[in-house]
Amino acid sequence: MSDERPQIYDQNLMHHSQNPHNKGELPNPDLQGSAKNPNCGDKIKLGLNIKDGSIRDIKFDGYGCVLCIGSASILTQLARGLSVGDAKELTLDDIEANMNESGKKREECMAVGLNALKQALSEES
Amino acid sequence: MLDVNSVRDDFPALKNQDLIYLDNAATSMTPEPVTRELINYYHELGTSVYRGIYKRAEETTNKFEYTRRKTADFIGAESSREIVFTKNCTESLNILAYSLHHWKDRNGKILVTEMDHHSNILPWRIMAESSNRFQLEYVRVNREGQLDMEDLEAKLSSNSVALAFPAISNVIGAYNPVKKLTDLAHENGALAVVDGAQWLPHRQFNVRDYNVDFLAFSAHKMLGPTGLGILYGKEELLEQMPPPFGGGEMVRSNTKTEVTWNEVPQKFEAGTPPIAQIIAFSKTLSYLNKLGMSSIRKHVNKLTAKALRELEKIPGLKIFGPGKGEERGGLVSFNLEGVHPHDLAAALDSLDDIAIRAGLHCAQPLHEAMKLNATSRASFYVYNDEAEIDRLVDAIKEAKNVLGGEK
Ligand SMILES: Cc1ncc(COP(=O)(O)O)c(C=O)c1O
Ligand SMILES: [Zn+2]
Repeated sequence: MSDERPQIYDQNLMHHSQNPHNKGELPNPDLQGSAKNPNCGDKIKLGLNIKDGSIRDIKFDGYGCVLCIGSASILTQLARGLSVGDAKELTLDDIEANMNESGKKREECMAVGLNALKQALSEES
Repeated sequence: MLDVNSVRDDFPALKNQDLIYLDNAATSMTPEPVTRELINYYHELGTSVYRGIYKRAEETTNKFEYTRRKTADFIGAESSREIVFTKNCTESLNILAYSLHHWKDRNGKILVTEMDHHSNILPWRIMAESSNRFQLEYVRVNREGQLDMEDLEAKLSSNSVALAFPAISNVIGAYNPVKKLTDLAHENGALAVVDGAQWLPHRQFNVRDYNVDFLAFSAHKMLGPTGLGILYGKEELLEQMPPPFGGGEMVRSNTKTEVTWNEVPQKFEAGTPPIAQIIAFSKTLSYLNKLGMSSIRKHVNKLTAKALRELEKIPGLKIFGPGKGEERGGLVSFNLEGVHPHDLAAALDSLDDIAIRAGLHCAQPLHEAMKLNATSRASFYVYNDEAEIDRLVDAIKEAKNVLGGEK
């Protein structure tokens, strides 16, 4: 093994996964969504409070790898304050824009939080 | 004793490579005599089987049927008529379920186990959900991952059509008592269907000693080519079973008013088969026989025992499956506290080019039964050695520092 530690994941993502933002459960969510990665059992549950057509509060909980939890944490930061319409437009690229270093990226893992958000918003026009 | 260094030289994909390949339960590497035979077919034969009146086609057919005889010998089948070539283990099991579906005088319960791979659950599930003649039931697995024999005996009854189970679990490596399960099935008039995908690579399987009705396995997990599976079936059963697929090769005569199926096993082999793979598979069997199945088993057991011994010493690492001293297949599944299996696998790859598997291993019911979210799995084969296990252990410790550190 070399002395130089190879980078496994992007540093910012690692940080988010170790100190996730908006983690937990909203007491009275207006909308809820959940999603799974069927290959590995990663799962995210997500709750939203909507006021005047915008995301007032958002929290997620779940079990998953660094990519799954880190991406969900970044996602909740991006989504908070957005209008429902804008939040529906969020993509993996928006999450990746917050990752500056190269590292492993498994889309199925990174998309779990996003899929949960999409599900929660799907009822909302 | 296997000489790993000389074995490794036979595997072009591993030769002079840093890769530590520990995902053998998913698929194995292919030795040169096998790949050479694949090429030989395309370069020197290239014809189809059966139909030709010319010498070249006859030669292809002879080689093709030679593999069938060799496969029959390898598993102790009575005749090569009991060997059906398929696409993979999964297709073998689907063919079986599909054929049973059309076998009108068989109705009742299909028992599978919670430790089965999806490929030995879903064909039966599809069959049961598309006909009210069948009901699917799961034999329970306890928290340690052993088959609950009481539950099995309670569920097996005179209206059971089949008991399908894995010879070895692909997740936890547990061996099932094949003969005992087969006898139990037969006492209740049920067919014994064995998924041998994880057994055949390491250990002699004799279909007559175990008296199984059907055995399914894949060539690619036992140093063979991809695209080839085997379905063994007792001849008298295959004779009675309706063909699941129609097409060329499986039919003797087909007029608008009458149809006569071909004999077994061709009745089950509709269309042009994977000729190159089948011909090359005879070289796989020669290679395995040259190494010796008992040497292979000893070698893999030795590596597995060392892995268990060393992994157990890592703080926070929990190993699943059979207890100490109990027999297990050539694999170890484990979890490292505070580190997700995906992250562990990613770290081992980045840190020291070590390939392991992480996730649910196509066995969701088992993970549910054992209350597990996901697991990591290292699996061993003929070209692995003890030094690789030392590197695995070092890399896991390192991964723990890199990933679990900051919390
Ligand atoms: C126990 C078991 N059964 C069946 C299969 C399916 O094998 P294949 O994908 O080659 O059909 C596997 C391999 O993944 C397995 O481990
Ligand atoms: Zn993941």
